[in-house]
Amino acid sequence: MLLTAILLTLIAAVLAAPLSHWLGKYAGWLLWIPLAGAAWALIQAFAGSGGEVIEYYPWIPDFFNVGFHLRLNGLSLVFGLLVLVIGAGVLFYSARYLDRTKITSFYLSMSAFALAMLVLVLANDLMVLYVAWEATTLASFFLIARSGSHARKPAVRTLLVTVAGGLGLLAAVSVMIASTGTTVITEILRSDIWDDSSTVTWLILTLVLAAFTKSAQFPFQSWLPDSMVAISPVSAYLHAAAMVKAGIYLLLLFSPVLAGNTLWLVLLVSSGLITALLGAVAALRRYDLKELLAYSTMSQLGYLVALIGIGTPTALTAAILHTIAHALFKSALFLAVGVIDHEAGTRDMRMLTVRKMAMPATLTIVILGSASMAGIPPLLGFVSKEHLFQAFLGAELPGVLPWVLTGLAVLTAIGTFAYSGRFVLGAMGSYRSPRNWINTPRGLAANRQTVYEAAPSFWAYPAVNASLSLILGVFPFFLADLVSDSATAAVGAHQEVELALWHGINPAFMLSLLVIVVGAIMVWQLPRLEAFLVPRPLVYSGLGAVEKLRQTTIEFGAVVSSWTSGLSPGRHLVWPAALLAGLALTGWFAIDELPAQQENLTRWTDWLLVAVVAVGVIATIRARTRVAAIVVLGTVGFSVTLWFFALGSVDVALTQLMVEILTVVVMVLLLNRLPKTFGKKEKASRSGIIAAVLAGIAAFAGTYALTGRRDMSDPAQYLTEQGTEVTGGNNLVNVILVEFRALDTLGELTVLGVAGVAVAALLASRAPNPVRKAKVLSTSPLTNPHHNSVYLRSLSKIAVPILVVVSLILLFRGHNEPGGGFVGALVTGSAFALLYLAAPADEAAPIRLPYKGLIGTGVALGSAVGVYGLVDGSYLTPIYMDIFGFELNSSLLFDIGVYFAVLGLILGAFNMLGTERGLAETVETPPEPTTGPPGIRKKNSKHSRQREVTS
Amino acid sequence: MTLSITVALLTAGAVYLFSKREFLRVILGFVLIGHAGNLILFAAGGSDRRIEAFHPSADPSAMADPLPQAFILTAIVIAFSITVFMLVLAVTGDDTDGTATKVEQLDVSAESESDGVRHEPRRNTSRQEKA
Repeated sequence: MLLTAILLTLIAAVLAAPLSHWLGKYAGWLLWIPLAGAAWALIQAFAGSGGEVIEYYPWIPDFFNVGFHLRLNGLSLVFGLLVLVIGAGVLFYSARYLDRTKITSFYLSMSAFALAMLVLVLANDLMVLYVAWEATTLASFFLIARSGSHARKPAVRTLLVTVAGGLGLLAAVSVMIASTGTTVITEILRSDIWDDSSTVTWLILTLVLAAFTKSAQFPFQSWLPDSMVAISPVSAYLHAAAMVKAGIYLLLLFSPVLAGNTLWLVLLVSSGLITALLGAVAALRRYDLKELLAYSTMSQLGYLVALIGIGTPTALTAAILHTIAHALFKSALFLAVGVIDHEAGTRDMRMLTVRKMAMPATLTIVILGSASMAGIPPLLGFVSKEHLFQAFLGAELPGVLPWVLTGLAVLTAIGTFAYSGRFVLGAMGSYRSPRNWINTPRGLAANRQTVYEAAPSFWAYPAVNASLSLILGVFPFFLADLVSDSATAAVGAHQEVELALWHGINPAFMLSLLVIVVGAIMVWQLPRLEAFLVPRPLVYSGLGAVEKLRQTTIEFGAVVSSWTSGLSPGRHLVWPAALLAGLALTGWFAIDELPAQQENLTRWTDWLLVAVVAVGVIATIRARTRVAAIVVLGTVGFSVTLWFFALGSVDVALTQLMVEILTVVVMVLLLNRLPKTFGKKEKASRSGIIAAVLAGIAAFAGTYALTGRRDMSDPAQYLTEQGTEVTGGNNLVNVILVEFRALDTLGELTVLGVAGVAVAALLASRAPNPVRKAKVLSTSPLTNPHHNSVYLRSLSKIAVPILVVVSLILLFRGHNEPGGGFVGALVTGSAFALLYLAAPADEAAPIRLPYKGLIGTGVALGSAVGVYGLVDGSYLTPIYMDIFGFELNSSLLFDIGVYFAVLGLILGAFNMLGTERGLAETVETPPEPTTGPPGIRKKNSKHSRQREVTS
Repeated sequence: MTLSITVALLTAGAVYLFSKREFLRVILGFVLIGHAGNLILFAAGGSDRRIEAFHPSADPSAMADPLPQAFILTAIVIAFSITVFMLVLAVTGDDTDGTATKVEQLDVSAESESDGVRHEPRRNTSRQEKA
């Protein structure tokens, strides 16, 4: 049943995007149904059990048996119902509230949030709990950020604070898992780690950090008012009813083992009451109705935290009851403000004073909700506040402390009464500013239109919540069972709670009466109160602290990046160079004697290769023109190819050969976007030469000292002796590539794909340099690209088919003979290169294959073959098949994947980097031999292009 | 000895090219140091056995070590893709390395649709064309 509830919520999340697409904002009128269904499923599951439902679905059995351990008890039922019922209502409400923009993101994030929150309260596994916790943080971030650019900073600040708390939870979760060896919460609660005082201290600190950030408790309270830039449904759901209650849930979850601990008590009670008072005072100073509610939420959450800190059964019962009461009236109020905001276009009480509020239904909701908030009988808020006072009075604390705490709670309650009244007056448009104040916008040309009532479907859901506040206030015993079960779970012992509106005349009732009387006087004297409070802002600004932290972090990031940024390669290379030098020095002192070098490492023919490489390198660094540099670089590449042949590696040599050719082709394609020569003649810089010589000596010393001094490694020994036997392939290099380290090869294919995509992205975002055109005599045959390419076209007609056939042969025989996917693709690529170069115009080149698709196919094929390997053990295990008498190995399919990916990259390079043809400029006289790039007269270019067309 | 000298030559050339201003030269240096890295890998497997690693024609005791070869093979292709990426970097964007300062005087071929990617004409040139 629990899984059913989760799946139903998941269905809402999955359907959110398509439904928003088809129905627009009215998707909310359908999306609430799965959530309501999930709530019903929870109730059914709980009703049919003895107070606890346990379900388990495996997830990561190899790691502490982490899995979907789900548990429904009274506590999670209360919070689960809040999440689902209020979530369903808010989704229903949103259909009227939303405008036409960003509907999908709203419904998707809201339903995903509901899912995360439901999983959070049902989780009986710490890992699941943690993941869900972070998911709610992310959903909150997206829901705030989607309000537009002004919401970016608040969203980031909210994220910073809540993520910091998430880290606290992660620490707590890690400590609990490490010290108990299990992730199941019920087992952890039963374990003996709670007897170890130092562990408990750390757990309290980290858990409290998580809960305080999530539930906006002092000193982490600032994000909650900040997040009010989100739209009203988001505020009502996340920042009043559900997400901020996650912290409360976490505290209640661990309350059975932590209640009574002094640190726990001090932290929770002090922070809770400070927040409660702070929030109540701050709410009295706000003009924005929604902001007022945000401070009020903070304050009410402070009550809850302080109650949990007191930890007596009465206190925990009161906390649960007040959680329910608060969720009902606060969501109703937030949604009512949303209605007012939607209809009036403002929610500033100073702007509303000049409006006539013809909204009977909405204002009734406002009055009922505020009355419950203020604790006026016969509303549910009165019942819960009475329990609250009882809990403070009965706190098991020494001396006068209970009375001090009660005093603070009463003070907060008076403030609550006052701001509730202020809220009602503000919403009714009856706000009175202090006398002689001129900074109110009353005198401005404000909109004076009458505000009319919204459609019933708009205020229907807030009306339900407001009515429930009344009905459950008059008949609180409806809640008795639920609260009893919930308190049983939070206390850890059976609780039987009796709820009634009238408890007789007792201290709590007297306190309530006191609150109502003093509160009423304050409401009466509101303008004076405001004149006193508003000019006295608090010294401590949490928001400023978070903002400062954010700025400092960003500035520190800039400092760190300044160490590594810069255009000079030397600045980047000096660090690895220094590191290597340090390593070499360490090695010099640490290694006493090197093993003897093996014999026969060098053959006399090697010296020829050394000579060619030397010539090539010197020519490359001395080349004056770019063409020359590329050509002589080719000689280095070919000599390295020869090196590979000489060392006995046909496959590597073939690959190197093809890559060398293709590199030159790509470079040539790009060459005419660069100047012909390397700018002005640079003097050979002395530091460069010194660095080069040192690097050369170091490379020599390192290679000489550290290689060729041992026999073949054990894996290589195994591969040479048994590689063929194990795999049936004779080509050991290929066998390693596609079987023994296929996962590595798959990763490399992905790198190729990413490189291809990166090239495409780069070209899409930044225009390449203009093409440098050649100057050609008008009489020259070179002006006609068709004539010009005759030779290459004729050649390609013969060569291309041969190349393609050869490449396929190479691909398919790779397992046993030289070849394989890499080489095959490179040969095919060179065939396409020939076709490309032979084409008279870029458009005519027959290489327009979908290169991105090819890369994707390659990587997908490789991955799919890997999945197929799961049939026989593990990912990428090669599987042998016998199809029509042909022995087929799944590693061949893998090699075909390699082939596609490499070919895709090569084709992508040609497709994207190819230059347009036929733009050679014709001139009447031969160009003067100049060393610089040919300067082209602007005026002539248009003219000459026309002539080109006519010729 | 010979492999070490080759590696030394390639590394020295690469480091020298890295010290240059032009990005193309840095890329050439990258290609050279790629060669050097691959040869070091090869040297790690030893260069005394030089028979191609194919069964059953070769005697396992005389075979070249196939493991570094497999590493090098993929390394070559990866280095190729990175080279292509760096080449594209060299021809796009701001000419902060000063390699294309003279190209600005050249004509622009604005409508390049060779790959479906829209190539915006460079700002300075379009201003010239308006004039």
